[in-house]
Amino acid sequence: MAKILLVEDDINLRDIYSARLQAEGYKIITAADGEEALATAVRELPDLIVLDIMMPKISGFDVLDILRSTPETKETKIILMTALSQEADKKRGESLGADKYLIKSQVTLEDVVKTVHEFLDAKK
Amino acid sequence: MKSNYSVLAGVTAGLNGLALALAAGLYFLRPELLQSLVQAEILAGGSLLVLLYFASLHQLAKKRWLAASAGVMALLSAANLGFLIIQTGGLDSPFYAFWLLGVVAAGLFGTPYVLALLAITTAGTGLAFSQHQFAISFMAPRLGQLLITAFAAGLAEWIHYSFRRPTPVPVTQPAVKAAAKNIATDVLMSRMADGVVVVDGNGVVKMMNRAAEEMTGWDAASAVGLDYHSVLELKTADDQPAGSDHDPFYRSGLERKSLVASDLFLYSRSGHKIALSVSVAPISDSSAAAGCVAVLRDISKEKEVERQRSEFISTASHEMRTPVAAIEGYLSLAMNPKVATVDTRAMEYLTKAHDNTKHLGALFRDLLSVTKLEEGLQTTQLVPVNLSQMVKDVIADMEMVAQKKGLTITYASGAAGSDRSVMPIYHVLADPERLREVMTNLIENAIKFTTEGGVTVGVSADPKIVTVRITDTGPGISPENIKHLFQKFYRVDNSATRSIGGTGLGLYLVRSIIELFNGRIWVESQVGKGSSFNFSLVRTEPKPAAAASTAQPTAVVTPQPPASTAVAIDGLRPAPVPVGQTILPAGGGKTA
Repeated sequence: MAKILLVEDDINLRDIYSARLQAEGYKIITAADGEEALATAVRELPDLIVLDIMMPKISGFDVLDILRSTPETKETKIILMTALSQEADKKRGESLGADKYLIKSQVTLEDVVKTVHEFLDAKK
Repeated sequence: MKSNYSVLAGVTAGLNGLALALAAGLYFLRPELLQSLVQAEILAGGSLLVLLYFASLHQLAKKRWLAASAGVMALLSAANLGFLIIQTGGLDSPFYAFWLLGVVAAGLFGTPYVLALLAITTAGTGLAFSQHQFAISFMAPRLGQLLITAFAAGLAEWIHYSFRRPTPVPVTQPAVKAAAKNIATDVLMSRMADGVVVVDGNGVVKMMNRAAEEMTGWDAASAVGLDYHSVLELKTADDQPAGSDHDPFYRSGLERKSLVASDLFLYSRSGHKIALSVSVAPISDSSAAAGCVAVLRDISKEKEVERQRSEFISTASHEMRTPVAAIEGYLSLAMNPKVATVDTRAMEYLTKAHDNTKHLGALFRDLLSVTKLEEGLQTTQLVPVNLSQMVKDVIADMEMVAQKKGLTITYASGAAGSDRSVMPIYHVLADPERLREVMTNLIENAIKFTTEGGVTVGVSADPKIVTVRITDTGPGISPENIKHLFQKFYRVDNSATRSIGGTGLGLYLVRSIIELFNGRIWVESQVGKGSSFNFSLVRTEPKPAAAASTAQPTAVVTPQPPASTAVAIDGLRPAPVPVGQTILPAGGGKTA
């Protein structure tokens, strides 16, 4: 059973993504901010991390950067989720090592599920 | 002597001349009055001098070398008169009267002549006095003559001054008015809150008012005479010196028209930075290097207000979208059988709620875009954008969406019959983010309203403009709807399309953006056949730096064999080339 770490500061979205992905059969661990995310990632070593960018204290970009610099999480698959639709941000995400960049306003919940399948079912 | 010589002077000189001519006539007709050949020669010489003087009168009319010619002539005629008088008896000469006449003329010819004549007269009298052994009895009547000469000279001088025409410099009302205006202008200049700088055709500062002194940290006395670059340190937002693209002085001089630049920053001598609005106007003059006048306005406060407003809008937008996303998410969970179980009734209501939520989200998104756009009208910088690359990117992004509906999306190059894997590189003057919005919006629409077939994107260009054509095989748009298509909140009132949804703001936004770029947008459509949305933009050349950053090979024009080769060269995966389906039948398609 694949393990997904969901990093999202909005409580509702956290609930929604968790519920939906659990229904697909994945084990979901959540983190509400960057610090918690980093600690949890190293401790739990998830197969996939779904990472929100707009968060208080540390932004998702910084979390991504640190994750990629940490040996345990260097290779973990990371999907960036964000409300930011600027091209520059997409490039930044990709340059920092994200495996996929999804824009919340453009993708539906089902698209997210599909993307998660792509990443995790392939591994199986 | 700056006086203009009047006609009176000319006439008097004429009389003098006539007198001499008369003397010459006397010599020849009544020789008993004149005793020697020398006299005759002098008379002839005198007449010649007078003739020369008359000849120089045309100079009088032309006012050229007036003082010199009149003076010379006057002196010569004075000398001649003098000799004449001496030869005919000195102070006893009957020609002494003419001497007086000459004095009057002298008054009209100027002070030096008067003084010269007075000197000569005094010397002559002194000489005669000595010849008569300084006898007082001789001197007495002669003294009278001397005094009369002096008086006549004085009188002549007075006449001369009062008859003199005004000098070329009019020291009258207009001059006083002008002086007063200058004072008013000075006061105005020094009191103005905005800086004023006048620069000549060579870029040299000619004038700077007090506000400009304060802004730049230079005082006018030191700044005048320097090149404006040293005094006005202008930089763009990214801290680069304002080059020829951004320098309003340079551009104004080049294009010879007034313009305003509101995106620059001025660094004062002490390093203080202020946001500036520079308004430059050329000083109209027939010569090319006439210079310009610039008004500098500190817009730091305005910029701060603008920044706060933008920040408010972004925060507000994020705030509003959050609950909408949550509602939408929960509704979709409730509707998903994998997560929750609901009866058919509930499902129906949930679905409707969900649709409305999506509509709400779209409205927020579009409303914010419109607000941002209307606000950003002044600050948008148009730069060269690689349109071809952008088209490729957007098509790549949209492919998934199109495929979900079973539609194809392809790129078609402008020239009919050319190999489709070749992508000529066109650059346009635009704002990259907004242009992308336009393209995404139009293609999204095309996909949304098409049920089968596909979308074709074509790009064509002439030396001045680049045209993009987005064609779909949808239901088409009727002429009545086309009229209102780009209006705010307009949605086609049609049972078939009503269910498709939309906010009615998309096309309004698209048109606003295209027009912001000085472009044109229009639609061609036939009900039942499909629609074609076209927009044209100003063509430009790529900036060297921009070309490097997009890492595009320039001008890939050589025709390529099959798609695989094209991949190797420009990194684009080949677009699918289905046969027949995406080409708009009869009259549309590639001939953009």
